[in-house]
Amino acid sequence: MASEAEQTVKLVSSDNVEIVTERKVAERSMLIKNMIEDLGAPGEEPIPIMNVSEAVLRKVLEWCTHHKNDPAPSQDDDADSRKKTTDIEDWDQKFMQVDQEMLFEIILAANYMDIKALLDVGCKTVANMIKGKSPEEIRKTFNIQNDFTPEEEDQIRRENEWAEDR
Amino acid sequence: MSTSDMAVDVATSVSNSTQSSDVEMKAVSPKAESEAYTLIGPRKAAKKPVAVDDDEPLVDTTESIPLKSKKTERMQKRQQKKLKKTTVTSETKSFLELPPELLQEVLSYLRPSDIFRLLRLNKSTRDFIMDNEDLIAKDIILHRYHTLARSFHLPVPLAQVDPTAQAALLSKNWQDRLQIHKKPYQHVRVIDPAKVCTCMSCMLSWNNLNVVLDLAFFQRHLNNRDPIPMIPRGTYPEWNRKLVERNASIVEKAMRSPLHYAAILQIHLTTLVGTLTRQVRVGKKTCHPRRLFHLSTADIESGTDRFLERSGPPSYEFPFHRDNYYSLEAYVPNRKWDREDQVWLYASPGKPHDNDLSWVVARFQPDLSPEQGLGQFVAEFAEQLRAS
Repeated sequence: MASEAEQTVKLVSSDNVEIVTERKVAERSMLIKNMIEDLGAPGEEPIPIMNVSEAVLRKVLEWCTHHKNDPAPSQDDDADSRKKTTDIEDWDQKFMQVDQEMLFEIILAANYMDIKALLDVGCKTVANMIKGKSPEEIRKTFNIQNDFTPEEEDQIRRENEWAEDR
Repeated sequence: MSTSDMAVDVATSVSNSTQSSDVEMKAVSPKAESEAYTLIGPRKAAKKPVAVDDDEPLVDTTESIPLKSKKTERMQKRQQKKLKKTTVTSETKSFLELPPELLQEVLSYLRPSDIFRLLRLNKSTRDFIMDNEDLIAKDIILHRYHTLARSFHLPVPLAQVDPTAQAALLSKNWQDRLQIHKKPYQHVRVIDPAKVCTCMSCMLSWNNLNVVLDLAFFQRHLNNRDPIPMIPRGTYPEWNRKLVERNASIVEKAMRSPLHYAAILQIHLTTLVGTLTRQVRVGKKTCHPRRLFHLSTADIESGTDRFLERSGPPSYEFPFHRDNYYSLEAYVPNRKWDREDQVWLYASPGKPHDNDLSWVVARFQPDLSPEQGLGQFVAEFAEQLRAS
């Protein structure tokens, strides 16, 4: 039997493209890890990743390859959220320099494939795009329609002025 | 001609004259005596140019050379290609279209001020935030204001206290006893016993949250070294009434809305960081603040209160007057440093309120209503008649 480091798995994207990758890389995804455990013999049976297209899957695997030796996340929920910071590693920051639609697809894929760390990075990236911006700037960034009347918007602004301008 | 150029000229002329006079000295010219005087002159002059030079620091005005080579072009092309390859079309066009649990995750990384700004984005965002306010605020407080939330408790609304305890709290005897804690502070509006629980710990929580907002308001004065306006005793200026009323209404809102509470904590963290890093110039000297809690630049950038977990001075005294603001360094009450374990100790949440409330209930009888009072009087009178 091949040692665990050399084992490969076959993944099939939603648009039916087969991607072969290291087992260790693929197992960053809890979804795949659980599937491999259920299937027993990795490498032979291709694993379908239903909701993720090829381009996105390759991008996600690129992240997994870079992070394949990261320590497993701790199970302690409370301590985990205390450790949350909004800053992102340099490599991850570069990795996330993609267009918005790709970014959202990565987040959705990370959620579906159950890769907590990648999901966190994705959500932080979106949060950093919102942070410190005025509503008008956010609307421009994400192409969002304003459905408030000027009076309504002004009223909310006046109510919350004390909390906003920091 | 700039001053520095002039200085250089002076310096060269001075050195020239020194050289020439040296030569002349060797020759022992008849002018030797007068030349001896010229030797003294340059020494004085030589000091000047050095002092003038100090005024003009070196400024690098070299323009950056734009990158232009075949290598960079190739690199740019490759990057473009890579970007193209990774471009996908997605159903999700903006972060608002993410599934609710992911949207909530995104929002939990923001600061309360960002959330308040998002309320103005559009109606669906506002509704989403309002519906999930509790969870969003809980996440934000947990990872940004964990320490401050344990130091600044929320007072409990009176409606949430059980009816017998309510009656005890509202009894005349208890309210009279509280007079000393309701001293008309200039900077805190008196608690409204009809709306807020007036057990001892809730009273103090009320005062603390109000003071935090008042303190934040006067940060601009402290930053600019402007004096905080004094209020002569016995006068009640309109601006002050409006200010404390505004603060009180924010605290009352915070009792109902966790997002408002989180915003107060954010404001206080800004105050703390601002105070701990404030540099003031006294005359020509710059006074650097004492860096308490080993506050670092990374701490400031993180926007969290994690630095408050390190050792630092405790805050046992309530700033009872705006005069205290000048020397207040970091107001983080309700905790005590444990020297043995090197950690801060906090009261467990809700416990002080429960203890204080049962204390009041055990000692203060509810006031009797007028009818009840009369009934009791008649009964007692009848008892006396029967006895006699």
